Amino acid sequence: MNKIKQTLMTFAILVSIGSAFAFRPHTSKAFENGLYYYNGSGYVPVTGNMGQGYLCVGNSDVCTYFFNSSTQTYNPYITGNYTPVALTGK
Amino acid sequence: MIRRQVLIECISALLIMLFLYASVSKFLDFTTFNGEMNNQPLPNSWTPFLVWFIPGSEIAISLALMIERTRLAGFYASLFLMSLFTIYTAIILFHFFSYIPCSCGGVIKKLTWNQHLAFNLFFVALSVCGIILQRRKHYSLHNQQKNSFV
Repeated sequence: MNKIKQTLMTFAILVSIGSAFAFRPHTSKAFENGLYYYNGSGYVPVTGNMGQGYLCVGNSDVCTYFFNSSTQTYNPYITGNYTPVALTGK
Repeated sequence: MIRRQVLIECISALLIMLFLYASVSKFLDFTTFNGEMNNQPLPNSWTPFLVWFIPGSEIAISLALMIERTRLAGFYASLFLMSLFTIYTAIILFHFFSYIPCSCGGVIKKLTWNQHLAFNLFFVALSVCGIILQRRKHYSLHNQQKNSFV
């Protein structure tokens, strides 16, 4: 029983920590060039931070993008609708 | 008896995987997690407390579930935390707040709020099963010890 327990616990720890590292978003890329939102005609840098300056509301659409300098494209970062709010936050 | 113990181990392992994955991913991308917390319809003044309390309690629950002596307490704590998440998700879905935030702050970012609710309910049920099995194990061990004295 102890062998089963140890195997299961080791498996659980390795899988959870390993997958957290494996599925880690490449935020360094996102923050290298800042975040942008699409205003209908072009990509504009966001004002402030998420929750302080803007909110990402709902799950449809893309709220913010990051500029990938290697592919020269704007890639989706956070889902939702970009909604500006006061810089002081809620 | 052995089957029950294997079930307890499997439930613990699933909960440990959930809480460890959730906490480690939050710490690995702390800036984004901070933003996601600010994006929730809760006062921003709560964020500095929540960004440490949530992953901290997730790690504490994982540790409690790993150790036999603290496992029952770990199951109760897991039920409490998962119930809080479930209630919060239900409140969001019932449009209790002025807006529905993106569901990006959850353990699996691609899940919608409805999927989050189902996911959370599954782990609430798993915690309840863990509590029942662990308590039965305690009672049967206690009875065995009592009978051996008679």
